[in-house]
Amino acid sequence: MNELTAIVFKVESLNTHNGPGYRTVVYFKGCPLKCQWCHNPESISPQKEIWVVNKRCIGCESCVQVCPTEALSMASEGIKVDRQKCTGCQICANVCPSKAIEKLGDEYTVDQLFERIMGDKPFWDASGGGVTLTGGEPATYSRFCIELLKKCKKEGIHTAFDTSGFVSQKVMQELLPYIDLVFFDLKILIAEKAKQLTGQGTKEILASLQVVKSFIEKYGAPELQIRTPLIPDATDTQENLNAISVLLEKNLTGLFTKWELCMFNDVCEDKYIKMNQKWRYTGKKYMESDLKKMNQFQEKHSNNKIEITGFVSR
Amino acid sequence: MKEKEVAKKFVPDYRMQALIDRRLQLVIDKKRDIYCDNAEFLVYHWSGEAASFSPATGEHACDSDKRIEIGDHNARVDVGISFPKTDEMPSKNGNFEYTPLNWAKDYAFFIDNSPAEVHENELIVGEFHWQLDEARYFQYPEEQREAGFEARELGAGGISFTHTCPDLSIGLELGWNGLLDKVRANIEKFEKEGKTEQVEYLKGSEIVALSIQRFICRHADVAREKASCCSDASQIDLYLSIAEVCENLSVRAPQTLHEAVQWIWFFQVAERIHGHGNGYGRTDQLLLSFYEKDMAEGKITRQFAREIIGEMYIKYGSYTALGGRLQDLSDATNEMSWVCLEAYDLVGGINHMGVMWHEDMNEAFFEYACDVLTRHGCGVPILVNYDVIKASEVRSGYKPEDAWNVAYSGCQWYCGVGTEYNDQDVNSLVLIKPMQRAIDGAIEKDLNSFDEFWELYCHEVDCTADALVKFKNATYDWQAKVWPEMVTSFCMHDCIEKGKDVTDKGAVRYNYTSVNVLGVPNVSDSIYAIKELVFSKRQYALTELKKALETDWSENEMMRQHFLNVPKFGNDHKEADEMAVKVSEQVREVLESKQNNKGFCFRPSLFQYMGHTYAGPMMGATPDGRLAKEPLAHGMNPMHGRNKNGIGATVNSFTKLDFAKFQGGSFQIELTPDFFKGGVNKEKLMEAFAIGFFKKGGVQINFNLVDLKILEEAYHDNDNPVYHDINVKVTGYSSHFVTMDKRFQKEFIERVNYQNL
Repeated sequence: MNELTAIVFKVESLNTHNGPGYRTVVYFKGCPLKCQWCHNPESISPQKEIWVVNKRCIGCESCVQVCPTEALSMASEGIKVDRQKCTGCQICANVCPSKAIEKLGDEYTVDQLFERIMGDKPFWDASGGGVTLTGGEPATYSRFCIELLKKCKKEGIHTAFDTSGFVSQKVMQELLPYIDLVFFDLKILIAEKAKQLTGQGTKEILASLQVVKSFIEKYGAPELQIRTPLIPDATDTQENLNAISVLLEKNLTGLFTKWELCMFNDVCEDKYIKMNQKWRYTGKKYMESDLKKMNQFQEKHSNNKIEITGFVSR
Repeated sequence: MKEKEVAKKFVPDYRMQALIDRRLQLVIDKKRDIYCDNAEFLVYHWSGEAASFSPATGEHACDSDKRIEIGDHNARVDVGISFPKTDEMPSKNGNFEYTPLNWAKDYAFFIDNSPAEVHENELIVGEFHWQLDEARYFQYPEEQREAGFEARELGAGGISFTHTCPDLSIGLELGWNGLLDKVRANIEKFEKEGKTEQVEYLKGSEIVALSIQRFICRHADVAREKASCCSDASQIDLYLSIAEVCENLSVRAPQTLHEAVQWIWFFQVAERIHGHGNGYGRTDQLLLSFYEKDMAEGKITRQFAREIIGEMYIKYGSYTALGGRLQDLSDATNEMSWVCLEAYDLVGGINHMGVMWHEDMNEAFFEYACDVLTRHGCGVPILVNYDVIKASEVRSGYKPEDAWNVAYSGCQWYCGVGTEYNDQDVNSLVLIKPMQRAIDGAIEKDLNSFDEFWELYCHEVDCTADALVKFKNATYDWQAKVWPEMVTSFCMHDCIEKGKDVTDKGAVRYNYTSVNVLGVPNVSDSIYAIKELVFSKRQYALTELKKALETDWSENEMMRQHFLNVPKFGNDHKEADEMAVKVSEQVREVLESKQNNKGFCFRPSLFQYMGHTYAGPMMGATPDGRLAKEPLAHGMNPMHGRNKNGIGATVNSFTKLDFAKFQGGSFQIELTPDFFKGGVNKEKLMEAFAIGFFKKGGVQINFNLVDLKILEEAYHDNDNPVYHDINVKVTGYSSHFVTMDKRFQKEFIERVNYQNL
């Protein structure tokens, strides 16, 4: 059997927004959902890819010349990537003199990734931090994640797992013993709308939430935090938030520690430009009034341990 | 951070606030500025003109439109005129000699004619308006200057001047009468032994000590006179208290905390009159017994202790150290460590104290230090790793009984308290120069392999180091005669006993020459790029590279991009970081192999306070893809904008170096307030970062919290008073942002890193 590998598009040290203390956050590439608002468009495909930072391009066309599949061309606005033709070989990124073409995704073995993250151990120790696996959907590489998490637990490292919830019950069951903190996304509970906006219904997600619930009831761990990205006219409707609220109150009372409402922002717009894709949410913004509305919701549902994060004021 | 917006934990009363306001007014009126002659001084630490920093006035002063303002971290208070009695200086009347006695007579005349001033609201007095080098001839003989120009040609330079740390406990124990008795006893001893040179030196010391006593005494007179014509009862109390303390201190040793702090401040004034630059040791150790005694006797409150120390900070926030360990390795943190930090939390502003962390340090104290650092946001206190600095002293050859008493003493350096004269921070080796010669040589010799190129580079580094050794030795031959540091010598171990000045050969126990190495990240990135693109991939020839560099890469943008985008130090990239280790280790080995004529070796520090800003255009473009107009890297920190993988990766790269082998190498962090968004606990994050960094072997953290938008506004509107109270930790020193030379301001703004975490 070949050694387990995973495609990772970023490893970030000293992150402070994904669990207690300083986190080393591993972003796995590949996601079963296709949320229309996705803030990490580079995380969706499980394949290696490239994107182009055209302001760095000096127009030498070295990339166009070396591309074995003729996926690249020089257009008036800069280098264009034909994603149908691109195989993710990344040869172009290697020859680009100004690094205008950036690689998306590196392949790691479990040991390589473990060695990389262990350099941050002094910061975890000093801050009560640890490792957070996210993506994409980290469970895209379920075997890999289990092995990595096992190694971490052996060293006593705090582990967090940030999941879309679209994970088979079996895999979720296998992962849970090695996780200290689960960030579980509940985006849309209205099945039809979920299918339309994220590409998947709610059945699998709710089933895997049930697995987490049973596990916690049995073992008293891991810690569970619910995350809902607030997306204008998609997830932020009263109907949807009320539905999530009811689910939490009825089904998960006492089993989760926080419900994080992450305010929409447009800082990812740049990524879509680099991916050469259109983003449906261009021009959308949250105003102070939206924040106020959420604060009111928070007050009304105070027993749901709501925390509002990520508001970018203007 | 803007000083006025800081939430201080201790609120100043009317009196303290008045003193704080006066301090800011002096800054606004540009009365605390510090200068150097030219850009060469910043790069080579020697201007070729003045023998040291640029005197503000007098015959060695540089034209005001030529000199460079390096900040306002000056204890001197400018009054807009030069020393009024310059022409009457004893040495100006046909009596100049290069001797300590001649120097001492000038010093005494100078301080006797410096005014004693007592200002309203203050309890700690003493201010000075001129340094001795504004009135006495300060230049080395021609032979030394020639060696200086030769060294500069090869990329090195340096001054020798007041960069050490006296042990103030000597003076606090003896007082001025005690010091004088010690001097006289040794005069007698050396007279008996017929050692005239020592006798003459100590006769100079006697003259200096007596003049300092008169200076202190005059403050008592002024205070009494002011009390007699004052109608405000509380102000009269202040004047009378000052008078009593000054009368006592002009003769005997201090007995209370108030007296001890005043003694220390007078010593600093007396010393800084002959030159700026020293650190003053471990304040918490020096003052603990005075504090405990006064508190036990119910003489003072803790708030009074904060205020009296705060007053000293307002006068000038010198380089001092808190924390660290005692000789038995136990934690040295004590009540006084807290009071010293609380005093800063009362008065804020520019200060240069360092907190020396170690694994056994009182956790609450370090947490408070990080709280002060993040709340005030301007780099105070500096965080230093005590065990690493001690290890580096031991490695140099310090005896354990001296090594424990090491103190953070300057921008990024440290010193054995009272036992060492190390010239730290005033010598420079610009590593770009030998690299450039190696490129030329490799072309000439048509070298074909990286190993041969590396060998040639090593040889060139050696040549530069030799030139530095020659220059330093020429300086050391003359230093004690040209510019003895007689006040400092009172508080050094062995100097009075030996009848030798601290600057003299054989005067102190440790006399290494420490050298700031400039451009290590640029050279390692350059050599790594040459290795990859010239010798490994054979993509470019050295001749092509040289031509491109000579034309500042113009018409060679593609080539520049290739050199720029070879992996760079600071991104946790294995090979690029290995090259940084190789380059820094090489220059260390070369310097350590050289001896000065005091019998000690040279040592490298991976730091340079401001040379990187000016060296860029002087050095021209470099093979790391740098354009000539861009600054060099700051100390061992990666070049601005080249560490693209975040602060964690940079720390990993940085700590691949063993800092116990170097004389310091600070890690500079400039963060925007966004870094701490989302209601996280700032001081906890800072503390955890610092501990993590130190456990990985880091030695020093300089931290700034910077609102980029405000800094940019300030840059374009220097005269607007709204921006006058922004303090920043420039490198290892603090300054008000708007008082710095424009180029420093610009570099500082560009430096802001890690905002995207």
